Amino acid sequence: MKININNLLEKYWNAEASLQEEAELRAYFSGSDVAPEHEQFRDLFSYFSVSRLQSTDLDVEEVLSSLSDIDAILVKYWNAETSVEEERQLSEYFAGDSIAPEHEQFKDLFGYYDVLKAQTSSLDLNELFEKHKTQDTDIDGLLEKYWNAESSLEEETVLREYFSGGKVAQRHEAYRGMFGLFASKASETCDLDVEKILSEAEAEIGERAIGSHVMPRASKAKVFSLQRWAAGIAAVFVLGFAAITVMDQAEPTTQYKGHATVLDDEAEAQEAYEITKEALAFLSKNMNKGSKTVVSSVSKAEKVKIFK
Amino acid sequence: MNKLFSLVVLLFLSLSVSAQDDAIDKFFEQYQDDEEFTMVYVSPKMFEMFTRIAGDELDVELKSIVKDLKGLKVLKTETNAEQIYKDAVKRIPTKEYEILMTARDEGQNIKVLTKTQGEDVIEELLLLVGGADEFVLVSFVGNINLNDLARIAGKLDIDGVKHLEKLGQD
Repeated sequence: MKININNLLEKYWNAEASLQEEAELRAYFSGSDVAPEHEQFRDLFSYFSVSRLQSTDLDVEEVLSSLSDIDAILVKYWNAETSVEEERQLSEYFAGDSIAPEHEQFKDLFGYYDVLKAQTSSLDLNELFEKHKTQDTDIDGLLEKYWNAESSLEEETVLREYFSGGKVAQRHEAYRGMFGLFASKASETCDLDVEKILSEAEAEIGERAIGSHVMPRASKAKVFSLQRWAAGIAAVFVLGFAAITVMDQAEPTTQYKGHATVLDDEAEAQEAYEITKEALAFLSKNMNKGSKTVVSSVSKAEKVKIFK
Repeated sequence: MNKLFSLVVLLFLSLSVSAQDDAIDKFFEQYQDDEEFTMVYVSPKMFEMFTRIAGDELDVELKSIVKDLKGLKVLKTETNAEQIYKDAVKRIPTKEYEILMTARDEGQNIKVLTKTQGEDVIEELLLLVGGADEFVLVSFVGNINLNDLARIAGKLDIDGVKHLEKLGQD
């Protein structure tokens, strides 16, 4: 028995217990030999047995059916689960006089829908699209198509005829000029020389782009100036490279000519040193020459009392 | 376009400035092949060797000067000395070289010029001596501390200048 109860409880906690099994559990708990480990649940099941009628074994379907039909349909309606038939039922109900007090609040809602329904219920969207696609003698419809570039040639002819006629509606007046234009232009072919126009445009742009420079311009001005610039830049770079090359060559060469002695040989280090020494001596000698002169001049100057 | 042009112009300006660096070199080059001239060129590499090779013999104070030197060029002649001197003076780019000292003594013109980098760093020192009988151009490349030079001026063998002339007779 106990194992059974445990099984049942297990099922119950998993919400897998059937009504029968729940009844068994309840019976067990309302009895007097409840196992110690089940004591804690006793109050729970006794509560349930009390509220039995109110909750646990409520069959939702049953509940729904116990409600009035209208409530059921309303519930479905709020869940967008109603069929058209059911909605019709609802609207009939609300259109009638015997509306329950709790449904009063929805009357206006369904009343509104009723009105709408009368207006649009016959609206078949597919029908609409079809109608839109097929030839339409309604000018507005044609215009709509025209703006969307969906009009056929025949429809455009219709439009043109309409606009060339005398009975143009006020709202279409604005477009009359346009359709009139199209009528006359329809027969023309495009024989514009695109090349010519482009080159002329380029010439104009080229002229303006130069700005303050005033230069005579041929028709292909832009391309011409680019070439000139390119040639100029190329010339500059060539000259630059030539100049750099020439300058790079201006390095002292080591050649033995005349009395030229270039000392960079290790063996001649000593001689080079001597020469350096002498060069420095020469330098200092010359510098001393200068200072000697200064000194003697200053001493001479001291004798002359310039400043009293 | 204009920007490009000015950029190119600036580029060449900078290049031309470096061309002035070689004005002295060009001057040397012009005359180094001339048989009338004596030319000596001591390369930077040689100066590096000094400190390694002739270490013991180097006078300490002299060494302090020499170790900063990078190159030495000497050009000397006795023919047309005055003319050459004037030519040399003309060719020195005054933007690069500042006159450190000029003197005229016993018919000899002396000019000492320096090329400095910044305030105290001398890059090159030029010595020009021009007179009726001789013209000498000495170019020291590298830092020369003139104070040190002045100090050892007395120590250096002044007569040793004759060595330079002897060299010309080789």
